Amino acid sequence: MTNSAAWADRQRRIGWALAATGGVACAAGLTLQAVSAALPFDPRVATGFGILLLGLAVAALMRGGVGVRDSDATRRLGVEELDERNVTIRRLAGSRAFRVSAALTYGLLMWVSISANGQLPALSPDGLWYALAAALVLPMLVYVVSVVQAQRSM
Amino acid sequence: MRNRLAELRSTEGWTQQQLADRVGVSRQTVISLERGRYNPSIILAFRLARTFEIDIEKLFLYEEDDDDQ
Repeated sequence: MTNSAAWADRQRRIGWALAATGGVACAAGLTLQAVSAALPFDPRVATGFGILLLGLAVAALMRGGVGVRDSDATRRLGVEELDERNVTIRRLAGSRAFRVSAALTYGLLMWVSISANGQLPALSPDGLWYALAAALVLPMLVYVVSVVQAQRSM
Repeated sequence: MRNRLAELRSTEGWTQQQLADRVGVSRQTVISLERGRYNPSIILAFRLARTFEIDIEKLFLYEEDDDDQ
């Protein structure tokens, strides 16, 4: 089995596992919604999580070539995924994004710790939400920009 | 690091995509290699040399200046 065929095979296995887990989560959510009224949480959370998993399953199965007649396209996708230059670019971008993520999280942690002593203004729940959202989105942005930049220069 | 990839590929009459398919990389990687913008791993370098049936030293030309990169 070639590397790209093994990659497609792995995508299919991941896809089916995600589909099964998503199906169970959806079924559990819907059953709890119908049967139980007094739960400490909204069972639609489980249903939503199941739908998310089913979406990821469809993506993985499509990458693995299920339902796609053109096996050449699947093979090319596998080659692109395992291509050493692409892997190098992704690692470089991931490393930069991680550094930004670590710096933001460290800064936020320091702010919350110091503000607890009253030496900095305390973050409001809204402020904390925005800071956490920035700590999530900025590293993603750095990752995407780094990938585009490296694709051009490398 | 300089290489003779473009020269040898055109001697064989292969397209960049055909060479990429033979060594199992993307066409973009072949383009980057030919332009000297990307230095391959030792495994890919050997695979390319075997594809052209030449020694690796005859395909990739190492120069002292490469240490600075």
